Amino acid sequence: MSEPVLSVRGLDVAFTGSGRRVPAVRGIDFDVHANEVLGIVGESGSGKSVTSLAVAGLLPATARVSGSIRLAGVEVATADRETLRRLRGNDLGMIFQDPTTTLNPVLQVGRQVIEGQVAHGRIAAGAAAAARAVELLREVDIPDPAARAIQFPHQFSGGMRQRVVIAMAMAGKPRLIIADEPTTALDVTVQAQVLSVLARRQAETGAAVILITHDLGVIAEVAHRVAVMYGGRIVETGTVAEIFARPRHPYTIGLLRSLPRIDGAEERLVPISGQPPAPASIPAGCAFHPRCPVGRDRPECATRMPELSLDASGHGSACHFPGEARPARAEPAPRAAATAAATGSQATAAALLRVEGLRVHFPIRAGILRRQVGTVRAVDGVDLELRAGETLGLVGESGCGKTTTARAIMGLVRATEGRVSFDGRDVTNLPRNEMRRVRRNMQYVFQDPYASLNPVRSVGDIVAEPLRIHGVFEEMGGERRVAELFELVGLSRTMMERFPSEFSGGQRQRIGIARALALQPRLLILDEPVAALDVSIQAQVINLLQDLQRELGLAYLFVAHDLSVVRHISDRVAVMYLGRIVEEGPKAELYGHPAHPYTRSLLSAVPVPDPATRATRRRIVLQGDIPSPARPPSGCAFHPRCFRASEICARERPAFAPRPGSALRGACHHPIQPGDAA
Amino acid sequence: MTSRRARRRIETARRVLAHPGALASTLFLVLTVALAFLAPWVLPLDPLHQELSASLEPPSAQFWFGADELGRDLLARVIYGARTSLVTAGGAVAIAAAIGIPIGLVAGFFGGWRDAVLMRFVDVLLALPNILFAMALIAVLGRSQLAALVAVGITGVPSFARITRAQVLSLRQRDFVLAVEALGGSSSYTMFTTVLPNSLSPILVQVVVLSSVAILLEAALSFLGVGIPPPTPSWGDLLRTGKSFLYEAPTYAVLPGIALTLTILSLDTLGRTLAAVLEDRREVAVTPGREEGRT
Repeated sequence: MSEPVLSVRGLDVAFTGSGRRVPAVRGIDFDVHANEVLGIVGESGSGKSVTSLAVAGLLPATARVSGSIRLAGVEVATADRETLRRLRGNDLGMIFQDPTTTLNPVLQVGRQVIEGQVAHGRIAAGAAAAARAVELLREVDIPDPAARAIQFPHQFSGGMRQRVVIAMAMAGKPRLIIADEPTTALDVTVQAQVLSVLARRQAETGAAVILITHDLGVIAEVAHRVAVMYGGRIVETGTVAEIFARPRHPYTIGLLRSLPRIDGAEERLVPISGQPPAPASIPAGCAFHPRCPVGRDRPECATRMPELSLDASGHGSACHFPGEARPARAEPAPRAAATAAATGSQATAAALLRVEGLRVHFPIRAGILRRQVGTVRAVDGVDLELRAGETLGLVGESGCGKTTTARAIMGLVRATEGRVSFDGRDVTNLPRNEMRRVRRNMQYVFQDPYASLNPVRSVGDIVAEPLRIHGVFEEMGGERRVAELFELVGLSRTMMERFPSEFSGGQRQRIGIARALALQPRLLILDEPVAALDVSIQAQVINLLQDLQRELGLAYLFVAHDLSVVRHISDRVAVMYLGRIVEEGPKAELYGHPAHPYTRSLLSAVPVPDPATRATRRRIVLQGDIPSPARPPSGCAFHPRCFRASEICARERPAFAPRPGSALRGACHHPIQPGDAA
Repeated sequence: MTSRRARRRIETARRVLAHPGALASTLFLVLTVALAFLAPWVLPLDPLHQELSASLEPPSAQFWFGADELGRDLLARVIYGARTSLVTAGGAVAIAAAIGIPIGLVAGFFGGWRDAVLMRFVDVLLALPNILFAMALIAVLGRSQLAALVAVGITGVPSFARITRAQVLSLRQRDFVLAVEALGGSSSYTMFTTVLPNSLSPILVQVVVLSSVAILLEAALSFLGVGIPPPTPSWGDLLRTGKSFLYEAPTYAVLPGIALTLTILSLDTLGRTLAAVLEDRREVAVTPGREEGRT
């Protein structure tokens, strides 16, 4: 094999800013060759981003770096500023997570794309540079690049901005590109566009790429080789096929098993117990041993740090007992029969929650007189039905109105039109004190566990709050009831006096769930309850929700953008696009035979954590971006991006109606029949 | 629970005092407050006792700071002047907070017409020059310590109202406030148990900052001869009479001036350090467990 583009040996990074030494990366080795994508995967705090910053020489002054980083023959770790500057200009391109903050808002996009090249004197400023900028934009599929080049970043959508960032990173034909969570801030259909552009440009330029992500699906779609990081170390590395088919390290195995799958496996998730260590408190010996099913009680794992040992094929893991970890996946077990029976009886049961023609419009005001100049149609005619004990998944991309729908049901935003009834009673826009009584039966769990708990109250007080608000604290058992709730969600009652800041994200989300359960509601509205959590923690919370549903007979309205999670937890699924439901039905039917082109493309855009299917899967990459709900397209809102649209779609809005011969309901003029090719 | 909360407070105090400037300021303020309030019991000084033979005497063993034109001990008058200043400032800040915080809370929480009406009222207050407004008020109420206290207090209302309102507005749409609403909490419950406790840090800083403003304003009023009526000693009054004797007894005006300056300096230093520490603690509290990222 040829000389690697990047060669890292014994890299060690520690931060000293807080007065004591906090290790972030603890001795890692890896190579990246030309024409290769190395995926680095890990949870928060694993050291993956710090590794990439070290390679680029972008660490802050408080970082202490030791070891060797050779990029294109130059030692980065000891290089002076000038060498680093030249290196970054010539051999290195960076793509960061958030394209909104990466681009300079006051510089024309075209000039920005070529800025680095001009600064390094590779191209003269002026006509030549402008022409090259247009060419670069064209190469990343920016439509009408000549006109776009003189626009500013705010005129671009998120997906286009990230493609501009890619164009910028690629402009100098660097030998190494570091992409740090490049698609995490993007929606799934836009992620598909960006990933395909990234992969194509990588193949065209032959650059080496380091792709850093927490998403195993993205890794499986794009990477050639994978390094799995945990606690500042690489615990396993190998080719992407090997890692997914025959993982060796208990952590990799655990990670794969804790992942809900879009491709159908239904068995209960097997989460990794505990939580990832913070860099300040990494356990001695193998960092994973407190969570490891193999090494938990072994003195060797607790005292000696395992070395990464590679076999001839380059696959290896850092584990003292590599043979003992169990195989990656248990056989898919059929879903509990109870669910099937429940589904059968549901058809006759009355709906617990019924939403009819719900509209939420927000006025856009402008000028000093605050005149209304337009309307954001956040929710524009939604019908839903949810029965007791059932889970309805509500999926859609950002801006489709799913959270607004949930909040309008909860009475947190006013409905402009339509009806929400709970248990047969109309609860639309009730006055505050009447809504109060309804809220005993209907509770809300927020997306961000870091924002939804009052930071100045103890968590015991937070969970007791609903009981006190409704004046039933003593009646429902006081402190005992709170302790019970803590145990119900898998937390120790000894934690009740602590403050939210002392808990991890997963624990906080449990506290949020305990608070929602305090009044024994019948319906929980879950707004992206696991989106902010690491994969291994996500599985714990999903299992908890499923257990609680079984024990307490709860109904869930599960709002999420992650189609895999929704598939795992829901009985029925509704797909939203631009304020409307485009398709709804039983999960198996909807995921198996989607009839709406949007559902079909959404499903095909989800990265599947299985590299074996990479070559055979057909992916529909949607063109363009989601339109603004302030100016929805005429007719069917999806028609400008639809691959089946005809002239009628632009003219007439399709009715939301049951599909003959199927359990699905949908709104489309040209539904896909089971036999049709997409 | 209380112990944990207390520990957090102690931790905040410890971090404030870790700054040398803040430590020195605190020591000075503690000394000033202790002297001002304990003086009648621990010091053998009388600010009103006249010894006309000692008129304008320079600092000596008997009169450490010298004596004024009526032969009263200037040290005693500076110390008792501190008492006047501190009582007036404390009372004024209490009045400002008692009126300003509820205004800001209601305006920020409900918005709409309540916000418009209340904040226009605050804008009117803000538009009037502080000293003129206070003088006008004193002219109506008659010259007394209470009048000075009320006048200074009312000029402090706008800053409390604005700071509280800004804080409430930023908290209003936070998930944990929405969560209480989703639980069925009434408006007043949400305002007083959720929004207000989370707004206390900037309000606390404002208390310290406004104390120094109040001391200064009280001194200014006394200097102009409309503040605390004589013979009660006050710093502003000392400065006013002292300036007539700048040649004969320079210490007369200079020493009260230094006391005033040091007090203001200490309060401002303390306020700034407190703001920095609380800001820091807030950041730590909001983003734990997210050590990764752009560190």
